[in-house]
Amino acid sequence: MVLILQILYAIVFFIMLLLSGFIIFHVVFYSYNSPSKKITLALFVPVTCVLLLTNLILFNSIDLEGLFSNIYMLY
Amino acid sequence: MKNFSKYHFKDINPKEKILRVVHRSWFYLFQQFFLVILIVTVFFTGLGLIPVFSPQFIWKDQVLMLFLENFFVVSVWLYCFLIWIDYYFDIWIVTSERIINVEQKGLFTRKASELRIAKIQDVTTEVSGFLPTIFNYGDVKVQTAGEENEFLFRTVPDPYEIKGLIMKLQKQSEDHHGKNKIIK
Repeated sequence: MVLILQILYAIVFFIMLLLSGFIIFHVVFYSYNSPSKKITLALFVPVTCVLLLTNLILFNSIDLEGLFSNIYMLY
Repeated sequence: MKNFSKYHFKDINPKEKILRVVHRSWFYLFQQFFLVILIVTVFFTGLGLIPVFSPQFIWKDQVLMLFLENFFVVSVWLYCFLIWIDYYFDIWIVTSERIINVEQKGLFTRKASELRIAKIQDVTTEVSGFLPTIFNYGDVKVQTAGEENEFLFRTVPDPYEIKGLIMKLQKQSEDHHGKNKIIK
């Protein structure tokens, strides 16, 4: 069960990474002017990096074994 | 006239002047973000109210709660930028010779079309509803001769001004072509 959850999380995390990559791609290659490109990237890249990194750290900090054993005990 | 030299469109002729760059109205963007703000407010208010209405409910695993909150914030953050991309890359450019429409649908669909000013036959403005009237935004339909479909500026700010500009350009183009015919 833990492994399934980890695989599912890995897929979701990869999708989020991919989505962020596509957003950056659009901003870099299709922006109509340089200042708006710089502002958007300066806002998007650091915040996304921090959020994704925090998300990864938090997921790895969850005691999944303990969580599932608690759920099993409930049933 | 604003300086549009900062805009770089690769296929613009050297003689062609960019007269107007139009995005959708800010109110359209606000409408899109309003739902997001509402969902975020409901989510965090709900989390804050759980201990008030259900004191026996205690998050045993604080990390799990933080993870779920973080996951929600990441999703909302990415969604906000998808809305922004859809808004920012949807653009109409009025130049001295043509109207260019770049339409962004999601991340993977991008449609660019253009219309020669000389081919314009009719321009219609439609401001319909209470909010569009108050905030002065609406649609501008440009109809052309021939088989081409109508060109639509959707939910653009100040549609009457855009219509006026297009009509003025069309008149200039007509006069120019008329003169050429007389010379011939």
